[in-house]
Amino acid sequence: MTMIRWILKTLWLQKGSVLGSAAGVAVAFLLVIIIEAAFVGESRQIVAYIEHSKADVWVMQRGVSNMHMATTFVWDWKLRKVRETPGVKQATPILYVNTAVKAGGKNWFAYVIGLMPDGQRAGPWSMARGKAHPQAGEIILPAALANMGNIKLGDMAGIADQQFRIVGFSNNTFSMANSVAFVTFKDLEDLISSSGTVSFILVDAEEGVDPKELARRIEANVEKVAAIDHDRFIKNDFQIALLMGVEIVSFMTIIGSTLAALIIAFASWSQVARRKWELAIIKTLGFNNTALYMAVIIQSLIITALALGLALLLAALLVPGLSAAVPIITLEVTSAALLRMTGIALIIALLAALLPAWLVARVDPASAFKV
Amino acid sequence: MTKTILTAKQLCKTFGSGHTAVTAVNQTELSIKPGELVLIMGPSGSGKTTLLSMLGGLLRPSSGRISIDGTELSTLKENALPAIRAEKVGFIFQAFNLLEALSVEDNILFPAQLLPGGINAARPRANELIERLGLDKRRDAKPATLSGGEKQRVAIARALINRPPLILADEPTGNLDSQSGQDVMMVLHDIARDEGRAVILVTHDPRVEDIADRILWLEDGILRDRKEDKHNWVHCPVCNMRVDEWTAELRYNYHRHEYVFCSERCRERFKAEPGKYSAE
Repeated sequence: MTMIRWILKTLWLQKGSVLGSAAGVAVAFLLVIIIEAAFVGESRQIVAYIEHSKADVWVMQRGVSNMHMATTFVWDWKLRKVRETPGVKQATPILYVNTAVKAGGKNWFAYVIGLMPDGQRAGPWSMARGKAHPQAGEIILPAALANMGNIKLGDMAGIADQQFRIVGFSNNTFSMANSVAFVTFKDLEDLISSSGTVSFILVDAEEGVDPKELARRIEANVEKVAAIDHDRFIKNDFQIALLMGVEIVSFMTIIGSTLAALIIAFASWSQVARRKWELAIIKTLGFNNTALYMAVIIQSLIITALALGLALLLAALLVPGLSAAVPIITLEVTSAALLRMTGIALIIALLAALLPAWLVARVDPASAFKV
Repeated sequence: MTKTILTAKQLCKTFGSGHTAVTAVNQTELSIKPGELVLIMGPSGSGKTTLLSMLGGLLRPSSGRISIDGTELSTLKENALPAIRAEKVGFIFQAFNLLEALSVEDNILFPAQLLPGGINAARPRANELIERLGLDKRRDAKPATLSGGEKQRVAIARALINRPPLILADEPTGNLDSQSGQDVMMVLHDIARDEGRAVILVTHDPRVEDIADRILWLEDGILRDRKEDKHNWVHCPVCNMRVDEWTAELRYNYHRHEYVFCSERCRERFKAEPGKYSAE
């Protein structure tokens, strides 16, 4: 107990430099937290349309298993066969293409969804203003675009060589990787010169029917289609998102963690170097190296915990502010990410203690006699 | 047969090798009994600190044997030495070597966490030492706020907290004014006498010679009994410490006789019981 008190009080004596080190480490941690939050936020936005459309089963061309960046064509006569499958309550076709939408003088990458006149359930799930269902020559864009691009209702937006009048702004449909825009099925058919095909069929199951079982029935009943239940479909798209960003996030996590480890190691090293004489005294009094290694580890853990707490506090303050100030970035801090950050911090604290521990081992107890 | 606390036999320490080899301690023999206070004196660089480091288990001798309270240090592995230091040796340093972040009480209790029972078991002993060494009012003070004499008394209490049979003191009066130095020496003298601990004291301070049971002289790595010097000194009537009658500042007249004292403490003792200490 007295040893821990000694560590705490010694750190308190050096509170300026300890806080400085903790702040440096906190910035590194914050960097990792925000990068991961941006990644998770973006990944969530990639699956936002699937999540909010709430279809129990997604039907698409065989061989396709996700929505993001995918191309799928299903003959429209298969829609009837899907609807005839036992357990299907409702089947809504959409036409879909990944393309750039030009609005407010800028190009925005988007999922363009072509809605049938009766396909209300596949449209935007929350409106900021304007119409929720487009008519011929009309388009619904994310509300975030309106704020960023100074776009108003009634302005024009272009997709390829066609112009659409903006009639509505929807909520939660913007992301850097894929915003969601809605036009009529017919307009999108004309745009991509397609006829007699749909991209996806959104299937609602009758009450009590298991979506997985329904997907199996549809695949058995309708040739050359893939039917995937909602949860699986989200997971597939999330995996794609992960594949797209995981290297960047991992790389940034490694950079941030290494930076944090170096700062903690330097701080602990400085503490040990500054206290070398006291360590020699403690060794003289009969403490062995193991006790001093523990002291160094505790010291490193304290600095890390302080830094982590500071980083979490800063994240709690900054993330909402950043999201409001820069709507182009969707930030989402998950408890899993924080838990992972805590684990990383613990490993960093232990690794950072190695160097000072080596210094501790080299302290000669007889040097306590030196005046 | 009287028990021996410390025995050193054929002790040698050589630094370096070949042409650059330096023998700091050479064929030293030493034996100290409980209650004995032994001074080791010698010129700078004579090997005093090297000898003290070896006797305290901080430095391995090149050859020879050291036994503390029946434990043979040379047979122990390196990782067993810290436990021996914690249990059997108390160190007192010239620079006090207190942990500056801790209070007086925490400094004293610090080594107690190494023994069974830990700090809680050692608390009564700490209270006893704090009282005995006059540190009661400074219990919660930080070392930076203490005088040199107080710091050294804290260091003495810390050295005694685990009741080690052997106390090793390296120039304990070196950083103290003469009054504080004499006080500290008296404390060490009392500890040896009252608690039966063996005290080895490395010092240059000639004022403390008379309280020592033995004076050893270390020069060129060789330890010898020092010849008696003849000086015109008088003795403090209380502790018998040698005091220069011409320069002594602490004086007291009793029954038309002037007594000189080594410290204020001794003068106060004398005043309290003059009949006990006066020549009459």
